[in-house]
Amino acid sequence: MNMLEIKQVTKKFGDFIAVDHMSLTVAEGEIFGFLGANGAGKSTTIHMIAGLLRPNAGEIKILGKDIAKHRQFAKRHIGIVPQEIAIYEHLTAYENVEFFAGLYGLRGAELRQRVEEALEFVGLSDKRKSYPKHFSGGMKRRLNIACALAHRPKLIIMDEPTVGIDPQSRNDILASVKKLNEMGCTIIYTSHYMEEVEEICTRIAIIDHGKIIAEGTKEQLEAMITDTKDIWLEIRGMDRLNKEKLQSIHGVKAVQCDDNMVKISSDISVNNLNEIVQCLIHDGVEIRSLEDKSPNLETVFLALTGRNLRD
Amino acid sequence: MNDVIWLVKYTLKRTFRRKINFLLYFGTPLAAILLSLFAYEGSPAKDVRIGVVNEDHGRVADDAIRFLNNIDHLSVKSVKLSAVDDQITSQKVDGVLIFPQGFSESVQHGQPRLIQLVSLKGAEITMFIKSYLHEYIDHLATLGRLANGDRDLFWKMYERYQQAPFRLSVHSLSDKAKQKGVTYQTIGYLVMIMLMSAGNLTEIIIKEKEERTYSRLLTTPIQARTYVLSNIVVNLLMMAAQIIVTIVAMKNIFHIDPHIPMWQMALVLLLFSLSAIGLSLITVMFANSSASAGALQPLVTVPTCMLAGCFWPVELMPEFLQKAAYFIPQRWALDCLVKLQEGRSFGSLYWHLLILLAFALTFFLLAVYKFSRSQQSGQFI
Amino acid sequence: MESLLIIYKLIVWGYAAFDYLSSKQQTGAGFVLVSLIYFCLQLFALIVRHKKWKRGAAFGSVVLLVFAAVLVEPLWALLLPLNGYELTSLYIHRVWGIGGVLLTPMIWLRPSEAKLYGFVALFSLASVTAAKRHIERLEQQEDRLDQLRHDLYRLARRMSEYHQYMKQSEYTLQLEERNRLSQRIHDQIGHSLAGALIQMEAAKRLMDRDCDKAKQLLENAIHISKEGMEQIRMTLKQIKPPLEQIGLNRVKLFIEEFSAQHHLPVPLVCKGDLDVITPIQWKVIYENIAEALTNASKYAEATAIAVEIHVLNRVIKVEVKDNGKGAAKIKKGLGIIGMEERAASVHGTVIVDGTNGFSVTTLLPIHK
Repeated sequence: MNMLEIKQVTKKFGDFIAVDHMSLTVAEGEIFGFLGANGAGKSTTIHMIAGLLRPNAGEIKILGKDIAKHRQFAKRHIGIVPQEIAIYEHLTAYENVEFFAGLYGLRGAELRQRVEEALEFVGLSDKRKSYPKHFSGGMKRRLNIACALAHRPKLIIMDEPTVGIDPQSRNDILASVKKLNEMGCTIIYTSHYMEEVEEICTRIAIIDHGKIIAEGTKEQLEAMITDTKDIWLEIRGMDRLNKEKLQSIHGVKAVQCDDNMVKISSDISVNNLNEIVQCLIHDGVEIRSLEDKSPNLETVFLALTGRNLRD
Repeated sequence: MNDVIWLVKYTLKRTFRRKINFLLYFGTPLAAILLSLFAYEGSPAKDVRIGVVNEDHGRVADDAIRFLNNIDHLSVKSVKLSAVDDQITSQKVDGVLIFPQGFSESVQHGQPRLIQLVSLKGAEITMFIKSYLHEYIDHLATLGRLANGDRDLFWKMYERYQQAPFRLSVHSLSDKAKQKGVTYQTIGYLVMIMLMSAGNLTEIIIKEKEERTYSRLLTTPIQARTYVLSNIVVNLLMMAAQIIVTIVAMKNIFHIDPHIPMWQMALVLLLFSLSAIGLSLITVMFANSSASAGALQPLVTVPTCMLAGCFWPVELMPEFLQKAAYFIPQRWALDCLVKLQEGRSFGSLYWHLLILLAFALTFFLLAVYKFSRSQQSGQFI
Repeated sequence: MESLLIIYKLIVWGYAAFDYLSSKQQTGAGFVLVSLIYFCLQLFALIVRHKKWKRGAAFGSVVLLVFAAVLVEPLWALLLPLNGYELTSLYIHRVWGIGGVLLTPMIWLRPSEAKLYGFVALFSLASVTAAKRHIERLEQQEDRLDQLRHDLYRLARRMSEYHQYMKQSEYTLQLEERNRLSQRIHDQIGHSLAGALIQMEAAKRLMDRDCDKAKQLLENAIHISKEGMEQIRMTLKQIKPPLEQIGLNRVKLFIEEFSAQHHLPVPLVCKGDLDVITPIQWKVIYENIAEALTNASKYAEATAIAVEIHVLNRVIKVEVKDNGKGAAKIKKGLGIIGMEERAASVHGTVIVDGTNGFSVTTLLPIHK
């Protein structure tokens, strides 16, 4: 069954159309990425899924049930990690998670166990008695996530969960997203950092001006703009380079040499980097540097919209 | 219901994590009691000074002056007629009484000549003297009328009247008045504190909106109205606690007798607390940020409390304002307590209680109206 | 309407309250209690959605006002026209009927009071009726606007149907054209070739016996073949469409004309393999570029407009971008909706961005 179905959803604020006839489907078990610049309509979409905003038109279904009619059902199965840190400064880490979990009707021993689990999961178990005002940005972010986990939602929606934190915390969070997915959660992940989306998402929708302009796996999206990737190599021993042998590698389309730079154009859908490198080493060519100029989501976004993701 | 209890529990937890809030919610009523005690201790120290011009020098006039001299908190000094204006304008005296020539004679005939009272201070002073003097002269005039021109008979009666032990009760009377006054003043302050507290507590709604925890709450199965309801419950609990703290402290620590049964006082104040909550809900529903709500609350609270007579007796204000005060719930709560102090039975004051309830209902309906409008337009409160 | 009535009621109540405040009466409780109950009823009527409750509240208000006017303070009667209007308008629809009902209480009033009451009643009647009419008209206009919008959509749909029809007829025309071509080839070129063939066949036979005759026949055959060649050339010339009518050239032509007309530089950049663009896509591209350029010339106050057609691997991107003032908030006009619909007809989308100048990007997928 589809975890989430959005059909022709439109949200207007006065004249401004924040979300414009958006349709998309998220299957169970996916990590679905919303990629778009600030103000593209990602948060508005999430607020509508969360039931904080009512769409002007269209239909949103969670596990096949229309959220307009089954709001409680939808809410019980969704966990939202809001973009702004929404925790209470005057409650301890433990109490924060406990409070939000309790709103889902959990009480007693079960509640305690779930809260411990959630804190453990984000690695804040040893900080359970501390107040968030003494926390670093990354710890606050992690607590922010824990508050959305204790009721074991099937769909976790993370709205820019890594804004303004250090790289270590970011990696922790990305790892935990993957772990949650392995535990069976479907995840919707929004970000305007394409590296994160590229790294963890199984499917991605590029959103711009309230519309989905492209949707698919990373490879599908990249294939939209080109079917070749360029690998740039800086080498020593150009004379030993065997052009014909390189060209015979599966997927390689062209090999161009210039001074000590080699540009190998290859089919994007074939992963042949190992073979290329092996071939070069076998011939005794010394590789000084290697740059994979494959298209990434940033270039896809740029090619499709003419703008950068982070303007 | 379970959800409401859960929300209330954590709201209280959060509030009292900050120790300063104990002081804010329960220290202030105690401070209010102290303040009103001081207000009533302080005022007798400053006696009312009266200048007396005795043009008559008759026995009745002399006795009247002596009578005034015997009254607590009233110092009398004799003044020359020519110096009256100077004495008053230089504020050496608060007022001057002029006993006209032939005053004693006129009293004997039962038709006392008018005593002139000159004062720059308002009714506060003149009423005080007038009430005492009026009673005294009235009695003497009655004697005069009874004697019917018979001089000896008059003096005989006069003699006996002067020795009568009626003045003994004066002290206990003024003491009771003082306790009642302190009670009134304390309740006046408490009413304002309750309004302020209700304001602070409902402001939590806006604060949570600004801190984004509110929208997070709404993503859980909690509905907006459950949340608002929990806030109202928190408010009620806090008000009830404030009322109990104040009354208990008043009775057991400061030993002030309010001359009203405790439960009646608590009930009236609790009824008023509903209006306080309703009023603060309205400000919260209309304000769009905690800053504007914070600015709006005192702007509503302080003037209405002043008008309602929380800080001084309402009788000091012009009649127009006195009447306007009846459009404010504080006035009805205070009025109800004053009436109870005067000895009216609780049952006879159903009119007051009904109006207090009606105020609360009106405020709540207005808040609900605004709430439902904002929900309809898609912007959740 | 709602807020208007609230304001009217507040004004009249304010008048009554002020009058009460400045009067010498001492009984405050009655007036305050009636005020509060009155407010409650009005708010209740505003909050509840059910017609039954609303009617109940309206009825309750009128009863309350009558009692209040009799028992507490005659001035309460002044609010009667407004609440009476609300109540009677539920049952009586004629203005004169409502007016009659509203004015009846005058019979029981003293002349001085009746004068004031009558004035307030007539004023309320007139203003509320006027407001109501106004709102009705507004609603009518809104309905008509909706109707128009609906018509517009219908017409747009019909247009796309015609579009289909046009494509269909285009195809039929193509078939006919092919038919005509084959006919022509058969009729003229076939005949010439057959003629030449016979002549050459005869020449071959005569070659040994009568060399001159054979030569003459060959001469004939050459002549016929030459004629045939000419005919082929002619036919081909006739069927080949003029260059400016296809794909890119049509776009180029439009842009040149536009540039000259508006004295604006409009550079056109093409990237990628333009051959994959199908004629239908070219049509969408052409129309969207034309629309976007027209819009830009109308609103943007731009000094340059750049047009880019970029064929990527699986998508065609067509971007029209100006350096004008842009728009922070984009209102979707018919132009943009039209572009979106055209793009949608070939499964594409349109992105409109106004943050840095104004740009309209059409994305069309390539189906390989």
